[in-house]
Amino acid sequence: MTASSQDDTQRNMTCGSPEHSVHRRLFLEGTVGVGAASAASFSGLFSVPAFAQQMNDKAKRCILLWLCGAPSQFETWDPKPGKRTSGPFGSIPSCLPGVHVSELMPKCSTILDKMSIIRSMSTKPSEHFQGIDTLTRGDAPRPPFQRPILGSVLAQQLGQLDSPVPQFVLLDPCPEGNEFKSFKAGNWAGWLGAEYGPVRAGGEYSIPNIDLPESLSEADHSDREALRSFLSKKFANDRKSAAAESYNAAFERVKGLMSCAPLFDMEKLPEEDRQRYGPGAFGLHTLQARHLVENGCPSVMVANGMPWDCHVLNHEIHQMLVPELDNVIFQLIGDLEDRGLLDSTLVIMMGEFGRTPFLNPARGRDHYPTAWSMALAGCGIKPGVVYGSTDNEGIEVSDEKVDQKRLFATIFSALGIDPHAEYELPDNFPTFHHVEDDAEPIREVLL
Amino acid sequence: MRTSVSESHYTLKTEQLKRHSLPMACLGVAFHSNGKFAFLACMDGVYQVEIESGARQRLYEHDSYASGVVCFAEFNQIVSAGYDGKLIWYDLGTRKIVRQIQAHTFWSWDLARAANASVLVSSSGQYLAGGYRYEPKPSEVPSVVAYNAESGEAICRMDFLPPVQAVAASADGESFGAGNLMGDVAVWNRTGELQSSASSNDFTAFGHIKSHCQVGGIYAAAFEPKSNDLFVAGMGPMRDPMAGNGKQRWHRYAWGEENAKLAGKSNDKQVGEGLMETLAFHPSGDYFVMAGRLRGGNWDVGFFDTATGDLFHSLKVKRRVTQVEFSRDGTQLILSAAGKQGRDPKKEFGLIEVYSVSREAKSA
Repeated sequence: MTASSQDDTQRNMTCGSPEHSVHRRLFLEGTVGVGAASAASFSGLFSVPAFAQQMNDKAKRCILLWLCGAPSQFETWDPKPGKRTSGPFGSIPSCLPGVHVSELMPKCSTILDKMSIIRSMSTKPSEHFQGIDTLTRGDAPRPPFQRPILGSVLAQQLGQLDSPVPQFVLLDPCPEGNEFKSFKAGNWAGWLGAEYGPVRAGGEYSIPNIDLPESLSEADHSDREALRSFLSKKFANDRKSAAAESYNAAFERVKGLMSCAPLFDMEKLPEEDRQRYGPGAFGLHTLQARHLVENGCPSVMVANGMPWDCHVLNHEIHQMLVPELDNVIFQLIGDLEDRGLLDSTLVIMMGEFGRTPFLNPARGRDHYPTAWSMALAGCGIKPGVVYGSTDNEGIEVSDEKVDQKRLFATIFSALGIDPHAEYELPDNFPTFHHVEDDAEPIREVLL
Repeated sequence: MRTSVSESHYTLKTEQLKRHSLPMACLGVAFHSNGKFAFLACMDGVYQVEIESGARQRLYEHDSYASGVVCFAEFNQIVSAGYDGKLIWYDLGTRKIVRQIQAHTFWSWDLARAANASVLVSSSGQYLAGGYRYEPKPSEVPSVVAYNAESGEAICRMDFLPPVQAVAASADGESFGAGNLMGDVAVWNRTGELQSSASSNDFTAFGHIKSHCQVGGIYAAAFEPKSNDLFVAGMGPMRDPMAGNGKQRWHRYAWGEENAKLAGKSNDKQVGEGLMETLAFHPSGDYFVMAGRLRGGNWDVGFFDTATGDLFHSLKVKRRVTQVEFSRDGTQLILSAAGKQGRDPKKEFGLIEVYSVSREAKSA
């Protein structure tokens, strides 16, 4: 078919008027608002300044810098200079009087007044899979019920299902990752359903098949989708079909992805920004996370495989990873603040546990859930707080122990989500809450 | 390239003579030529240990771990290197620090001396992300530095892609060799001019299993006394970088030309798994020792015939062996090691062991 005959064919399907084309879609979808948003291209949607501004004013977002494998608290937030557990790195003073961080974090040392550090994390799981499971879902497993991961809950609580932008994005360039690989293969959204699962991108994970075929115009594509949607809804209404609902969710996701594909194009991010965050994969994907939340994605999780699991060569690897983390946190918090987004964007920086105070024979530190550190900044978080402490050698929590329930209660509270609210679940489910056992948030780190 | 599995020319007998613990891990050791003392670079400072009794004295500290030590009985001094990037000269007669030099902006990974006591050389370099897949970023400062051993005067400074985890000086002090994280090797002359280089994928693992980063690399280097070939050692590519389960491995490079030629390598059938971090030649040059950590296999100290490359003797220390050194007369071997640091502050996890070494040539 030649280009001209193709055009003729398309015109013959309607009178050729764009207005008619829109009217037909609206008829099929049954609603003007949803149809308009769904059919609009991403760039078109957010090129309306008032709309973008409204989104940014109201929306709350979360970026989880997932330090998988578990970083050492001694080489980050809780150094113990001069002690036998300290390792080879010294500590440096921060902008908070009396508070020191590892010398590997010179940039973060200048912005600790914008963050809250929790030095008294104490959890149970000591193996990766269980640790990841617990620290990303907020509670230990209770088979056969699958609690949704934090990002999925936030997608449900903070997101908009009719948004073309994915509501939960996992940026992880690494296809492997041992236990993290196994975890990634599991059910992330749990009882919330697949529509709240993450869209995975980054590195080797480009999003496939989201380009329109050359033979299909935007208008024709929208027409086809409207027809598919209409028939599907009719089918679902007639049959009460869960399969159809899931099918629809998948179509909606693909449709959204097609419209916002530019958001995932690293090359489109400003070179100056890439220079500041990069060149490593973790930094560049954190920049991409910033870009995603700026453009309406409420929840992004940035991982980089499982690099922090330093059973061998702990210091030799931390001397590379921590300076990168230091820079990435510094750039991200600074950018969010400059854009007026820090107050509405919660940044969480943590792994699944900490690392042992004592060295193994392989130059390594092993798993240590007993006493470890993590950091929070932004939405709902009181800046400049160092909460809890460990003893002189970092062996035990000496003050204000925090487990995953209190941490998640704090995260939900910071984002304005009731931590003790019940999930809406089928009748055959027991009662589940966002956080169980009425765990109290850490008031001291909340605004 | 020698990869034969022919039998060694020698049989070796080793017997443990002494075993002494130290409070914290020992990262380097040097024999005094009188055979009575050893000097240890430990996480908590530099020690002198009387080999017979085990009596120890902490001589001084670095601002971080002491990572290496060499002894110059010729002028009664030791020189240590540390993770503070400093080289410290200490006089054994006056019991005082003679000189401190901030040799590097990052830590000293390795320290070596020339057998003729003319020079010492130290390597450094921080591994920072230089690309999307964490290729090392080139250093802005020289990563290998050579000094006049007695005066402390800098002789030359060499640029080499960091981190440079292994360094060596030839017996006559006229050549310096080094190996890095990426499996690159280089040899320079005394003016700092690059003489030869090579690169191998046999020593490092791009972290495709758990992450995007490089792990492993060359951790030991030594010049063979007779041929002046450069030997390097480390660990082969790992199935799991965080478990350190690559092959125990050495390479031999003939570096007479611009492109160093791989002239021999360890036989994978004779080695186990684990990071090898030290090489030492017997003064005769007839055989050498490669040692490190045992992750899987039967030995952590292997004795190899220089001519055939074959493993012909081994020890199982069950510790991370950080350095080995022969006594000047070749009758003893000393090793430093690190065990597991325990919660009990009284538990010592540094270790030295001294072995007698005797060999017999096999009859034809």
